[in-house]
Parts: sequence; structure tokens; C-alpha cells
Amino acid sequence: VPNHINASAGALFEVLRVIAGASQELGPAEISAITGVPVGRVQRALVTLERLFFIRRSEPSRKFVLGYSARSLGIDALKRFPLREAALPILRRAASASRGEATLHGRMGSCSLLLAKAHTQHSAIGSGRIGERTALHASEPGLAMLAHLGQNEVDEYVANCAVLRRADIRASLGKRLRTIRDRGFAVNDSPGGSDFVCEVAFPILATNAEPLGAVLLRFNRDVLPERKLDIVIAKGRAIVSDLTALVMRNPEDFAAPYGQLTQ
Amino acid sequence: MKSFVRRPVKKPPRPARRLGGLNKSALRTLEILAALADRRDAVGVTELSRQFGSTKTLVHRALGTLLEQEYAVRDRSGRRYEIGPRVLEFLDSGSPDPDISMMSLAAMRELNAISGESVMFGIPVEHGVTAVFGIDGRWPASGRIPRGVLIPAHASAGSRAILSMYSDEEIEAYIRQALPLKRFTSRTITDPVELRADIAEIRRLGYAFGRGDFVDSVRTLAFPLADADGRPHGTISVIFLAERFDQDNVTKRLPDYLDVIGRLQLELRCYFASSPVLTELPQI
Repeated sequence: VPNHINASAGALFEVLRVIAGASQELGPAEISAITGVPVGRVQRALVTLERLFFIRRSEPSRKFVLGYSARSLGIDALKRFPLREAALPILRRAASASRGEATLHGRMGSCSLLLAKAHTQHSAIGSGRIGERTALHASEPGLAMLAHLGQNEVDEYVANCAVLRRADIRASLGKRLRTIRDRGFAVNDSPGGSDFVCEVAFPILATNAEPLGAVLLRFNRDVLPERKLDIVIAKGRAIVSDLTALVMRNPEDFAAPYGQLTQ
Repeated sequence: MKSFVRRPVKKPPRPARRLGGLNKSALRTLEILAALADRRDAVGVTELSRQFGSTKTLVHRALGTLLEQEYAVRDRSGRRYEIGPRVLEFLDSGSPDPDISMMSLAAMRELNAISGESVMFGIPVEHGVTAVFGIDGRWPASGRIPRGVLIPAHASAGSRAILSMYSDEEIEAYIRQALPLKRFTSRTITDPVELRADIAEIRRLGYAFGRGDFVDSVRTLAFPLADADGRPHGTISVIFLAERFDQDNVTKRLPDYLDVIGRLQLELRCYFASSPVLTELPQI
């Protein structure tokens, strides 16, 4: 165990992370198997977490799921992203317009962070989990933000990103960012090789043109009238511009955190 | 109508302060995590060490643990700390959405253990409440409200607990359409003035008390359960047989009842607060 870490607290957070990320309730033996932390230490961590309501026993299995203290912390942490509250009604409108999902992404360091999502009955696409992060260059919302960073910041980002070291990849990224800047949005017509899902991301810019976040529309082309993408892009642009206008009117209310988060 | 006990609603203590026998380093780290989550700006080691009365070394070590797990990140300066993105995962856990009746069942078991009496869960239905499930008391003869029976909003402690969560306008609308208020026993509240006074008392105390107003032979302590916006979600009622009802004992244990309900209400509030964005939109 490194010196700067406390072993007991480390094990406790390891247990908490596994329970938060699990797709089902977990018992001590399962947590021990996943984390490699001895069962005895897992038990002690569970006792602490349960007494502080970070986890609770699920009925009828009596195994563990997240408790209200953990959820409260998540809600508290959202206060760091005032953009989210303002964006919620806009996300719902955007989801309706695209007949799919609309998600809000914030920027934290070199990552794009999923902050909120709204979806319609048409959407069964799966936009990820709140708090999920991707490198800026690796998703449409991240690219929409990256395209609007200053050249120095983009250069620094590229220099720190191992997969962008090859000259041809760098050149391709540069071209992509120019296109996004010119169009005002990032678009991917077949994310993950899918031939029917489409993604369009609009940046949310502060008064000084710094990107605070991006709204991503993710939808199935087949539900669009005549599969027309242009209509969705026009509607999406109009809806997101309402959010941008709100941010510009009250810039100090939307100062975003800048964590040194790297991939 | 006067309530039989007048005590303010006891809020559950902040979790991180319930210490005793737990690992101090883990507790300190959780407290620092809560402090980071509570702030809108970054914070330094010195400030945290003052806040928690710990040495800088211990705070530094706690922050190291949080950084390692990405529950905290360094700010732009690299010298201060802010909440990390991993905390947001608590809002959208991969675990299946909690079944709210199951969440309530855990609290109901606690109430059952404290009182030894039957505990029922009721949900609002149009103009009233209906019991959907319950736990039997430990005595051979225990009070029970039959499932599925519609109890008008004025006629029992549980239904008035739910009524108390509606707006004054909605309550007036109910009274107007329900007049004359139907009598079920000699103790049923049928006077609108008395009903309004009882609602005010329930709002103040956080619980409703029924003295055999729907079924003669039972006394009921009912707690309202609200969603994140304070709208009625349901009610939990502890049903005492009148012959076994000991007011002094119930008064003594009331803080325990309220503690259980307070924790459940917090959990429900967190659940509802984190999920509205996930709700389906009407089809367009």
C-alpha cells in the first residue's frame, strides 16, 4: 500500500466503488472476489458503510446496495455543475425533438463527464451512466468541447494523449476539429459501427467562448420522418442555443469546476 | 383534535457523526469526502485540517485515498481539491432501481420490532388510501387493515397523513366534494374545521394519530412518506389494538419511530431526487 493512502480507508472505498458499479446486489464473498480484498476486511468495511447509511441491505436477499448517504453525496456533488439544473428542461425538449436521448456533458480536465440524461419512449439506445467519463477526443460531446478550446490547450491535450502521438491521427483530429468549429456541432452518423444510430453534439459556450459543456442527441435514424437528419440538427441547434443564451446572460452562475482529470 | 404527543419531528443525525467502534481513518476519509461534495469550490489541506481538527498529514493521507479512487481530484492549481466525478456514479448506480416498497419494508420491520404491532403500507388512491401490504404484529391478536379497502381521505390516520401532503387548495377541493364527511365510528372526524386542524397538526408533528376513527378497536400512528417534491408517495401505519395501547410507552418510543421514518424519508427523497431526469417522456 503506498504511503499516501490509508489501507483501511482504501479498502472501504474499494468496496463502495464495487457496490456503486454493480449491476446487482452483492454479498461480502462476492465483493471480496471482485476486489481481492480479504473477506474479513470487506466485512469490516461493510459494517462501517452500513452504519453510516452509505450502503443498505436489499430485501429479501439481505445483500448490499447503495444507501441514501451515498446518493445524497451524489446530489451534493451535482451542485458543482450548475449547468445541469439549467439544462434539464432543455434536455427534455431536445430528447423530444430527436425522438431519442439527450445527454448533458460537462468538462473536467481532459475528460467529458456525463451529467444528465433524458430520453423518450423511442429510445432504447443506452447513453451511459451519470458520472461516466470519456477522453475529450473519444466522443462527440468531447470533440464539440475540444474544438472550442484555445489552440494552446488543444496542443497540450494532444501532447498528453498517448493515442494521438501519431502524426496522421493528429492531422485527422485537427481536420475534424476545424469541421466542428465551422459547422457549430459534431456529428457521428454511425457510432460504434451502427448503421441506424446517429449522434449530434452541440457545444455550450461561455461568454469568453470557453466550452462549458455539450448537449448530445443520440437517436435512431429510422424513427425520423424520411430519416431526415437536417431537421433534427436544426431543432437541436435552436434548443441548445436557448441554453447558451442563458449561460451568456448569467456567466458567473455557471462557472464550471476544473478538476485535473486525465485519462 | 389534539395530538396525543407534541414533539417536533426529529431529524436523523448526520450519518458521519454516528461514530463509536468504527475505523477512524475510514470515517475521517468519508467526512472529508462529504465536505468536498458539499462545496462549490476547491479546498486546501490546511482548511480541511482545521475543519476536522486533524493533522495535515492525516488529511493528506485521506485525500490521497480519495484521489486514488477518483472520489476527489486536484483543481487547476494542483494544490487544492474538489469532488471527483466518481461520486456522481452514486446517482445512477448500476444496481437495479430500488423497489420502493422493499425500501419501505426494511423500515416497517424496524417499526414492527420496536412496537411489536402490525405495520401497514398504504398508497394514495383517488380520494383516499388503500393498504397494499403489511407485517403482522407479534401478538396472537393484532390489529390489521384489510388490503385493498379504500379508506376515504378524512377517515383514518393513514389517509389523513397522506391528505396532509396535498396543498391547501387540494384539501379544500376534497372536503367540498366529500361533504358530508362519512362517519365510520363515533370517533371519525366529520367536521371540516376539525379536519383542517388535524391536518395542520400532522404537518407540524410529522405523524398522524387515529383513535379508532375508521375501525373502533384500533389506535393508529401513521407517518406520511413524500417524494422529492413533497408530494404524497404513501404512508406507513403502526396499528395498535386499543386494549393494548399504552400511550406512555408509545410516547417514550416515539423518537425511535421518527428516527426510522426519518431515515426512510431521506432515502426516498434521494431516490426521487436522482431519478426525475430518467423518467419517460410522453410519446410525441
